[in-house]
Amino acid sequence: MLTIEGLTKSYSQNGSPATCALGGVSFSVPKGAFVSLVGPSGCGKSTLLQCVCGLMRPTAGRVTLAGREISAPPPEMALIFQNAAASLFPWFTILGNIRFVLRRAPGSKAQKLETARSALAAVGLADFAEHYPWQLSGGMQQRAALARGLAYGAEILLLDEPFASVDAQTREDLEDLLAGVARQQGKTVLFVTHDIDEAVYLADTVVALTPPPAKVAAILPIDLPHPRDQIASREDRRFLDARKAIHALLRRV
Amino acid sequence: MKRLSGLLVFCALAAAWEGLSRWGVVSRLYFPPVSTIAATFWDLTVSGLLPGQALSTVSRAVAGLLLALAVMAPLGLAMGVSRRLSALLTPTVELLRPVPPPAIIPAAMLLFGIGTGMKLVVIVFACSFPILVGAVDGARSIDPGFRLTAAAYGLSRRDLLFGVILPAAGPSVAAGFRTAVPMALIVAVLSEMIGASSGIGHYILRMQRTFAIPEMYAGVAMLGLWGLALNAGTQQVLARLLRWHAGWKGGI
Ligand SMILES: Nc1ncnc2c1ncn2[C@@H]1O[C@H](COP(=O)(O)OP(=O)(O)OP(=O)(O)O)[C@@H](O)[C@H]1O
Ligand SMILES: [Mg+2]
Repeated sequence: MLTIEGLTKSYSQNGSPATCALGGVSFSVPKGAFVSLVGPSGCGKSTLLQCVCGLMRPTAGRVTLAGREISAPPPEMALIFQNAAASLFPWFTILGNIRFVLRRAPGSKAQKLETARSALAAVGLADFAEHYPWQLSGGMQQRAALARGLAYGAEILLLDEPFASVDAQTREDLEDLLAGVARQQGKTVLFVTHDIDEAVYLADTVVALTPPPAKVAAILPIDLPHPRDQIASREDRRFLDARKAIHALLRRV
Repeated sequence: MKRLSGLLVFCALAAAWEGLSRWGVVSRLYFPPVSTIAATFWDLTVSGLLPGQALSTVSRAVAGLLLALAVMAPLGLAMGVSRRLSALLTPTVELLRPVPPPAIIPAAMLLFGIGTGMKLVVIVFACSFPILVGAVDGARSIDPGFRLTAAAYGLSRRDLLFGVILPAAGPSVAAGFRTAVPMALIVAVLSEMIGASSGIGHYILRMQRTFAIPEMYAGVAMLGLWGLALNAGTQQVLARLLRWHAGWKGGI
């Protein structure tokens, strides 16, 4: 169980007034659950993810994982950053990027290479293993960053708008890939997105945030059967109801 | 094509020198015809005298460069990463950096005599600052995204150093090194002119004093060629090491 309690973060700048990004956010992510986080741009979603994985110290509040407070990135979490271009190391190839984050993982060299290659194949980048990140398009870079996060093998995945710049078809494929991996391997996922449909389609629970300073506007359980189907699930009454409710909520706040 | 026309200009200048000297427009003693210089150059090169003198100079310059790199690149990276170390050392660096390296030659002679040790000290002093500054800047300007990523994936300090900080700062260190290469050669030659019994700098000065003017110019030409080779070699090695950077910055 990942618990976020009263998380508050204000960025203090010397001179200019402090920006209050998070204004006391509380919710929890049960083990094995898929939670989508939606909220308007600039409300503090990226900030929240960085606090959750211990990259950033919150101004107040705390994050606990199975009762232990998180103060530094724990090995059981992987964060897939919003800006793939600034997160993939330009001096390593795509394969090199994945192998680099696996350096401290257990297993033989050959096993890790196999893990890296199959992660690349899963996101459709098998033929680009030896390319450098800057030789790929924005969407391909996002997929590469996703492959790296998946290959890392963490139990908890924190994803920050990972499909924001891929085309609709690829996006559906990647959504299904992520849902499949999460279910098969029992991963816990905290998934940030702008896209309400995507949030509902993937999640067991959607957490909606208010404009900054962000608070939890609502927590909605999504009662849709698994595995989901891009066509059937999106036509389901319960999908449409949830989607409408979140729309209304985000418009109101 | 551009290269060719550039070469033509050079040939025209050389031909003008040849003509002016042969027709006695300029002093034939001070400006011997280019063909004479070339012949002297050839003889001295075949006899091994000129390459030998140049080699002792260039090897000292290269040794000084590598020594400065080995010490200053790690120190600069450490200063770029650690605020405390930077605060501790920056005033000293800023006070020493403006000193023109030749100014310390007399002091170095006093302490180390006129042997190789003195020259190495002066060369290392000259090369240290561009490399140090390049390393500090490089380590300081690493994109925070890379550091965050390294932290998020739980990389060890060792991996952070060799896998992130070193490659990220590499281009900046390389720029400093590139600046240091000609400086090493300049200071090496200068230190030989002031205090030495060997090296191409000493040779050039000795030829001038004995009015062996074609030999003097031949020495200068040899030095020019070595400088060219050293720059080209450095460029080659750095381009290979930093291929990713050229592609990255040139690509978008
Ligand atoms: N390093 C920083 N320094 C100062 N303010 C920051 C910093 N990072 C974010 N902020 C501010 O915090 C607020 C939330 O930013 P954050 O990136 O978390 O939003 P977000 O919800 O992820 O937005 P988006 O959906 O556009 O990615 C914004 O108002 C932003 O200006
Ligand atoms: Mg964001």
